[in-house]
Amino acid sequence: MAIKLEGKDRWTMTKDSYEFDWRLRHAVYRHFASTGSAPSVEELAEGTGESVPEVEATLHRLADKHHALALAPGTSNIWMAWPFSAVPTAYPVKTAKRTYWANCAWDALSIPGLVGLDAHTSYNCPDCLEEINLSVIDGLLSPTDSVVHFAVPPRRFYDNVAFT
Amino acid sequence: MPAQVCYQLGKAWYAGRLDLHWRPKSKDEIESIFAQVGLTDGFWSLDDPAEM
Repeated sequence: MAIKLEGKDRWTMTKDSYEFDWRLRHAVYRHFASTGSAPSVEELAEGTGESVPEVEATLHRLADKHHALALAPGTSNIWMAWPFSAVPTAYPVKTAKRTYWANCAWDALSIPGLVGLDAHTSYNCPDCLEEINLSVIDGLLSPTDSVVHFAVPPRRFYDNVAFT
Repeated sequence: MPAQVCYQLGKAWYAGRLDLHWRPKSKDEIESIFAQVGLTDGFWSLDDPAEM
């Protein structure tokens, strides 16, 4: 799916790279929210009218400098744009329209509010392996008797994003 | 943490993430979000204990 930026979302060739970074980030997130998947570099280039090398360089700035997303190691392919994952994970978030993939339990609980859709997530507790089923309907979480474990303190979130 | 707290944290943490003008949060903004949902112990501090 190509991303077409129009009106105020469209930039010109005279934009500075900083502004371009954030407009491309926005395009990535809009694609995730509307499809459940990551856009390819080629789709971003086509949708923005920029070259593939420019899009790749911008994605690397967003990952390395701004920590606004993560790329698959050694590539320019989007891996994570938190809370979304570009690859299937143990944390599916199902809505009436599509399935999203979250990076962890926290992200699974965050996606419904972010996309504004009722959703259900089901995953196995990493500790006891018990199946956990959670729903967000009309902005309300249920049930609320489970717990979520954070193994990494927030000051270390970006040290190893795969482990976090 | 209770799932409900995690849900509230997620709503605050990811608020505005789909907006064009979203930018990474400052340290003060992050600490404010943690405090909003009652996460105030050392685990949630952004200061490195080794440097304190």
